[in-house]
Amino acid sequence: MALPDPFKLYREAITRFENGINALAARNIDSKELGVVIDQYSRVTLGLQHLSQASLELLYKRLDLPSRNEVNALAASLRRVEDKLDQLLPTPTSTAIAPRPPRTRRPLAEVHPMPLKPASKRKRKEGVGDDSAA
Amino acid sequence: MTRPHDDRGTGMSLVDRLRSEVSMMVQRSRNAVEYLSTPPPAVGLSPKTLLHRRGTLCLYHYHATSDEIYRVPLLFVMATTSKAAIFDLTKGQSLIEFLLARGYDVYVMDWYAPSQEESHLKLEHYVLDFIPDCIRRVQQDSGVEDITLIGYCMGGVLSALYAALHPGGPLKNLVCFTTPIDWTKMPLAKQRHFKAERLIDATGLVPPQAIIKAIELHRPAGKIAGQARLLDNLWNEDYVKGYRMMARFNDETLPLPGDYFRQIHQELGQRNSLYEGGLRIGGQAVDLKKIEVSLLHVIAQYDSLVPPDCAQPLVARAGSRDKEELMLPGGHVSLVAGPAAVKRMWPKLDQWLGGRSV
Repeated sequence: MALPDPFKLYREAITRFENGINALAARNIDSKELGVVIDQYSRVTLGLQHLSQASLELLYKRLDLPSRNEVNALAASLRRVEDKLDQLLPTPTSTAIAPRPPRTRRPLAEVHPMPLKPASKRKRKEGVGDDSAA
Repeated sequence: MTRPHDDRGTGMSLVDRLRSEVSMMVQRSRNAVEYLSTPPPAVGLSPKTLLHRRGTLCLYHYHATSDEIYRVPLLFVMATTSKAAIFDLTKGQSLIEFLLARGYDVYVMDWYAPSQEESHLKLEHYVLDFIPDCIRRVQQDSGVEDITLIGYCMGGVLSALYAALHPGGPLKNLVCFTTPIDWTKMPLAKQRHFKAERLIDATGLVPPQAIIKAIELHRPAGKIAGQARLLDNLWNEDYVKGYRMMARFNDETLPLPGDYFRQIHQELGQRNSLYEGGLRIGGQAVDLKKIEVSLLHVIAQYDSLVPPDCAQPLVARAGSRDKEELMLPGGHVSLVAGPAAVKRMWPKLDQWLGGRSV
């Protein structure tokens, strides 16, 4: 007798849940209500962020420590110095590190550029981390 | 993902099945401890030299690994929200390592988080300053006039804009990966009721958390489902490693300059001016017909961020005689990185580039 596989059921449930929620989101992505929610959420998070930054800056001042803005300004100054140094120093340092092979390579099959054929299509699998930031 | 007992069919005895499940449970526990107690795997380790850095911009040259290289160097333009480590994940899963081994000379435009002082940056800075600056430096470093520009996602948009505004050269080839052109087909751009200003913080930048949340918005169950699948596959070390590399890539999302984001939201998102016409960069009208170089656009069939119909107008509109669109199975990231990309996209890219890089 075939044994039921709880992990198979689990995987199918995840896929159904993901597809259902994502399809719902796709249908409502252009709704005015969602726009209002995003606006309100952004307003609240940015407000909280501003409040926490102001409180922290006050705290740093009391503790006689530099604030984030001051550290950023210092980092920007350092970056400008680094950039100036990059411009002043001789550039071909890479040649000393990496060998420069001759630019004579040719494709293995020396033919005129050929159009490509698409890869064979497969059924879509749900994957991890796809469609993430890019 | 195949589990150890999946390929043994349903004829497995209860004892064997229990033994297999216990074994996987032990592996899950061991990998879970390792997951929680070790840093994510290092990425972007291929040897390289920093050629130039200016604020948010940096230009790297990767060290050749081949005895003989193609004449025309490749210059990658990374999407402005992400680090270019996605092209160089780990040994065997690095597009850059693959291209170096195939004899290409590889340069990469990568990004640091922009500072408050760079919140004024706009498309003009990227298209008319950063890209031409890097092209000049690549020409100087390689001693070759011709360049192949390769842009990914928003990096593809910047590359296409550059190519359209510089039809006289020095580009020889343009390769775009999953590049949005018709923004009305882009799920995130369909939301027209929120104000871009709301995402820009007090420093004039769009914080990375806002970008991550916005991307998650179009597939809100993706993150939870991904974590649930991780739990299921925690016994598999390769799966865990791949998951951690992708999670690290997401965690390293960069902030965006506020003016640049505002311009993208209004011009490309709201007015759809790259597709409809009327987009001007530095006072010059952008017309995709003016792209005349050899063009390859690789599109992901299951890309929910930049769906195929959002990307397809690039090849349809470009004026190039030698132009090609290649649609491959995969999503926005799995098109360029991961085991599927190694098998599908990379060999096709090499095949296309080889004859055009001599």
